[in-house]
Amino acid sequence: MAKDDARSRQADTAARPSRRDFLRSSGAVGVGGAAALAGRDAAAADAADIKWDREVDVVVIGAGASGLPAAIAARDGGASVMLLEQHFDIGGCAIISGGTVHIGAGNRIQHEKGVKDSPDLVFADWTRPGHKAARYNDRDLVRRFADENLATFDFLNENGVQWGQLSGPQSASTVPRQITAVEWPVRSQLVAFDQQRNGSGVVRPLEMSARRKGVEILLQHKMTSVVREGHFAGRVLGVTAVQVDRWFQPTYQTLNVRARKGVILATGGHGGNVELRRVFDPRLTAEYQAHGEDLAPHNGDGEIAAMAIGASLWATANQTNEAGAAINKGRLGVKNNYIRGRFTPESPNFFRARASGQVVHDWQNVILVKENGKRFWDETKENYDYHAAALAWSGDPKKLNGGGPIWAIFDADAVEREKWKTDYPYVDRAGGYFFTAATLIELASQLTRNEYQWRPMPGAELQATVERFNSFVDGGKDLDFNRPSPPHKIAKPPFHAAWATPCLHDALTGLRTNTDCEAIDLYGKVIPGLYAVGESQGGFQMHGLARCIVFGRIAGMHAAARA
Amino acid sequence: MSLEGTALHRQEIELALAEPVPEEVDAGAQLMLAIRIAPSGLNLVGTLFLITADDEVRTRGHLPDLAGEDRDIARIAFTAPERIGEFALRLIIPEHEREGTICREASLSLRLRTRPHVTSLAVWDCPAPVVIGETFRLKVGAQCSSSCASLPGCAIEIHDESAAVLAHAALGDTPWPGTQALYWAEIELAAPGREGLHAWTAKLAARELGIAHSQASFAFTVLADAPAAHLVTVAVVEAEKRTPIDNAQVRLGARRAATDERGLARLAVPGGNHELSVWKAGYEAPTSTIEVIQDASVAVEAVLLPVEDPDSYWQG
Repeated sequence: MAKDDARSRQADTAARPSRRDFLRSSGAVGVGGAAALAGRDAAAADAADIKWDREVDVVVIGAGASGLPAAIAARDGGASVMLLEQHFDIGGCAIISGGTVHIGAGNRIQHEKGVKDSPDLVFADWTRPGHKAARYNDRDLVRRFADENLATFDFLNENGVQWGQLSGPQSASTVPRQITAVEWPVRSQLVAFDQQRNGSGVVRPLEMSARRKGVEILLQHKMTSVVREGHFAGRVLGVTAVQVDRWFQPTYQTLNVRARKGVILATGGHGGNVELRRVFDPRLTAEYQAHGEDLAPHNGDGEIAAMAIGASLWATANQTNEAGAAINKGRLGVKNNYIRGRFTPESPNFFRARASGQVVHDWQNVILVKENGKRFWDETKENYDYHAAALAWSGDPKKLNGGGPIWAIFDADAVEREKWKTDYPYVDRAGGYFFTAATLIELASQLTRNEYQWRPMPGAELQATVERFNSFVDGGKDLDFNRPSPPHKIAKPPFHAAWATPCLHDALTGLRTNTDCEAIDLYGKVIPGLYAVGESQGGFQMHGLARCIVFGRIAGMHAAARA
Repeated sequence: MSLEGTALHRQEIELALAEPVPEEVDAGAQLMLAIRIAPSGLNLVGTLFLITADDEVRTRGHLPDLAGEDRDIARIAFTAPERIGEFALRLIIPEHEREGTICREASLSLRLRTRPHVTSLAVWDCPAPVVIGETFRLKVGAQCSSSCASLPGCAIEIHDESAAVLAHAALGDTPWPGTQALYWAEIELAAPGREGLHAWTAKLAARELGIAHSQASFAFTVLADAPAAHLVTVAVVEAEKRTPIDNAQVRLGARRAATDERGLARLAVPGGNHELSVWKAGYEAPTSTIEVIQDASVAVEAVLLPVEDPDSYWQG
């Protein structure tokens, strides 16, 4: 961003490291970059230099929707397993997911509802050329996925997951095959509340089962590199890791773990890594936040560590073919604003989230403007055309990529109609994500307090935008963006500006693997002992938990069976 | 008193800015200067200081207790000149004797530009439509970037498309609720004499103010309509189940109303052709044109849009 360091530091609270600081200390410097913690360069890691602190059969990185099943399956296969997780709790983003698992193939719940399904139909649906979520998938991976659906369903049942409703069909599926877990009943072990965040009903039972079976879970440990025998050659020997604090900052207590059989990367994808996500979409500059990244920083560290020893990416079209849930319009007034990612003060993640944000019930109550004070689309719409407009150039010759912050502008009457609360803990004023002023010009002058608003919004421009919009309300037609008969002017003071920048959601591409989830290098060869699963694995665009669980289990089984 | 020639110890003092001062501030703005005094540890409480602007003394005071970790920062309040321009400021601690030590004169120079206060307006509570031949009222508020107290009593003018002044009123002295210093006035106006949209402007007559203020205006539209002649009842129902939809926004010609819990909106309109549109979040309803020649009832079917799972938007 065209923004100086001093301003960026000023915008961050003293206790809270900035994304920039985080990236610097984590060494996540982009494709080909190396994890540089503790002076070690992963790309040049010499196995002979490593003093191993521990030795196990299988090391799993990340205790989310793919890491937990991987760890359990490896343990079921007789392996000793260590699971490293950088957060102070398990669950990754899966614990704040809806808990819906898109697996069918004729499972018991489908039978009970009279739904006919089969592995062949799962394969056919998710490889069909007529559907954009299926067209670009690696058919070998989808075949394996389809063939493992029923076994994965049984695996989840055996490990304590309980099921609620069956829903669908959605996305490329042609029959209902989405089953939703029952929310975990222990409220003190939830992370997000009151938003149907049933993902707890998947990851908590798996955590209990993993611990019962003897998986060693080390929390607040971040993998910093994968160690391979030789430079782009030989088998994978283990990982280096470091303890981190609750802001994921290293404490410099290192841990090197030798993995006799394999290392499974289940690190959640790349959405929180600005440089890596821009490999796929250069528009995604720093102002876009990735869903759940404050809870589980899915910042591509698995991909980067794997690429540093020779791994390749796969099926990258899936990230940008505008078929999947890659971006979201979000809630208002909070930095990490995924529509269903609401953290309330009772959440253990609230200290990072700082506010719960406000949901817009009727977008006719606001206008959305760019950092330049201008509207850009019909606010009542949400689709990829909306997001393309939001991400389009906003006119600063010094910043051509990214669309800049998007602000919802509204008045006192809108607050009344929406019954919004405009103070703590609902919106983040202190952090610079919600502002209030007596006039629009005064409102615009405040926005530079936001860490991503790199230049002042011209107050006259914002006022002109509102004057014109208000004339559309009187005239009955939005002459600029054809918003349906706008009913409400933005007129009564005080006026508000709330962060409404789109929020990134799924990572839909990642590392190349074979159908056993073994990582493949740029020459098409297996990297022995390295696995990639979940949103860090490329090749199959399917939203949600299913591919994470299915392939996590496959990787765990395969790693445990290695000689 | 001259201190030259005595045997007293001489102390040099250096002054520096401990925190940056903006290059440009509102005329008459209250500033707090943070001055670092070296060496630290000097006891200068109560020492005379002067601040000059273009060699004219603007502030004369005595140093407060020093703040900061090293007790070396003096925080000094200063009022910027009310005139617009660029000024050479000089903070001076004159030579003086203290506890047997002669403290030599110390000074610090900095430049400061003053700018007019930025004023801005808001216009609200303008009814839509207004009825030809009747009067109506709206509110105009004015805010100053320095929240200065000179706005109450200032004149607000309403101009029409030809810049003719239609009405004026003086800003009151009580800020609008929810704001710190938005002073406002309610203004009565005669509705335009012809139907349709009229582009009017509210202006603040800033020339009356002591400190220079920027000009402020706010453009708004006035929608004028003929007197109502007929009552049209619009029933909004969900297309499939025929259930009433409440709180739908209905617009018929220039008139608006929201449906009640029975899905009914009543709109008094002039006779003639009027466009009928309905908005309710989550529904889609067609826009049509109806001819009103008498009291009438109209039904609008709104189609419920599928509820999308926000966790999996736009798949397919």
